[in-house]
Amino acid sequence: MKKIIAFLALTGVASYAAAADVTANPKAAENKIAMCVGCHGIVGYKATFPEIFPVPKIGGQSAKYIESALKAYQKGDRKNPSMDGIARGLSDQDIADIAAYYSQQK
Amino acid sequence: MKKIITALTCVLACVSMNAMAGGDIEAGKAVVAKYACNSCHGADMQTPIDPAYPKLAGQLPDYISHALVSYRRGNEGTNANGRVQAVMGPMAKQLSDKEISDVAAYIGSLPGSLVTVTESKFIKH
Repeated sequence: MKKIIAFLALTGVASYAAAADVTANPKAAENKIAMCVGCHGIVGYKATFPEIFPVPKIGGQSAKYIESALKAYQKGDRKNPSMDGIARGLSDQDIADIAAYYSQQK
Repeated sequence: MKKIITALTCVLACVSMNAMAGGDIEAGKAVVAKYACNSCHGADMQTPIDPAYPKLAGQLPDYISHALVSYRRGNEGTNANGRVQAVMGPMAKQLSDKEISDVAAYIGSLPGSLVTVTESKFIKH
């Protein structure tokens, strides 16, 4: 039992430490948004594959939501051929930076 | 020339039909109240109770429709645009196409802070 508690404590500390390593830096995102602006930086842009729909406005959206959406694409809870590929190429740090960048747009 | 005019008229008609398919704002307001969307997304659909939930006010109506259809669809099998989410899935599965269009029109009509910013400089690589 003690071992289990020790193990849980360790994993808790480890995951906390991993999370703490990620500090969002919107400035760093300027080098990471090349894949975003081709759609989300064009007013009125519509995705055409495999369905036609306008891509969402993401400027001014909350950073936490942008993070959770990108992680949902990584995990497969959300599917979209373009976003799946793009999200899977991002690290947790990239996601935090990009989310901070877009949330600050006005 | 006549052909060109006819073609343009068709194009314009299609465009306005798309706009009309956008749904009924008042009906959408009622659907939002019925499903208590505000209880998570905020009274103004702009101040969600948790930052992990999206701000929706002023979002593009056709995108809202797309998102709701994706939640309704789920992500099983070969669905190319599907979403699984514990709260939005069961919610969206209760909605008809008409309700989705109406909700989208209502949400899109609300004043909000969401923007699409055209990048004003070259992207650094």
